[in-house]
Amino acid sequence: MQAKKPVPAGIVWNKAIDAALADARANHRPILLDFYTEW
Amino acid sequence: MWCKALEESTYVDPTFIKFSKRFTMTKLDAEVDTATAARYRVLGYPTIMVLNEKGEELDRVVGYYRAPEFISQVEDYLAGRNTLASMVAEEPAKKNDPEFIYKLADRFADHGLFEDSRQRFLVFVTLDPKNKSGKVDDAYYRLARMARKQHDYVNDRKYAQIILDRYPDSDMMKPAFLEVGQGFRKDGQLANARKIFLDYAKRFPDDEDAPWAREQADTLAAQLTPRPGA
Repeated sequence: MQAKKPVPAGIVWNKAIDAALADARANHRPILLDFYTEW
Repeated sequence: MWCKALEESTYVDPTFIKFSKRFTMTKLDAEVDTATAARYRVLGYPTIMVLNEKGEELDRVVGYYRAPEFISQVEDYLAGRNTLASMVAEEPAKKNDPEFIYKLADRFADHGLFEDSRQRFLVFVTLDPKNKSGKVDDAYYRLARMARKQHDYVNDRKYAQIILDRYPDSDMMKPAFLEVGQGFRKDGQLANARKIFLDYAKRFPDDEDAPWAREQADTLAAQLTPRPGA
């Protein structure tokens, strides 16, 4: 039987821009910032 | 609708989830955090900004893409390829390439830079007079909508009318028809607007926009009828 591929855990989202900017600076990584609407 | 599609398809794709680990992933409701949305000049949804670690924009992905296309666009931006800035730098060498100019016009619009977009769409329609690209009708429609946004209703109707005259078999013909009506209404020419909406409903009775066109005509009729004692 073939082993199942592990499914990666879902995306952990920041919900505030200031926290996101601080996280990006601290970890030296770029940001993907999704502007969405509920409709 | 496309925000949901992104949520339910792209963001749950295992390849994308793995890719996302390289980023600080952030989600903001544009209708709640309006100040941040305005600061980044976000006008359509979904818009996914690709920012460097200082929060400066590298570029943006506008609309829904499946994981492979989405990842490819972001990889390009991180490498400085196909960004708006890189395209602007390429423009002098590609100023006579209709496909490039159309894409540039589209990218400016994605960035909310409508005057730059408008100028490129105008160049594009002159570069492709025979509509070999099949996109000239779309370009005129985009020009019409941009003109309406600028309250330039004469040009709004002019560009929409070009589609009706030159590209009657185009997919953009019906939207252009309604655009003429919208242009008249916004310009205060209510009787002309009503005529257009009535004509649309009559010509395309089974079209999904026909009930809406009838409704517009009824509303305009009520506005045009003098109120007793007025």
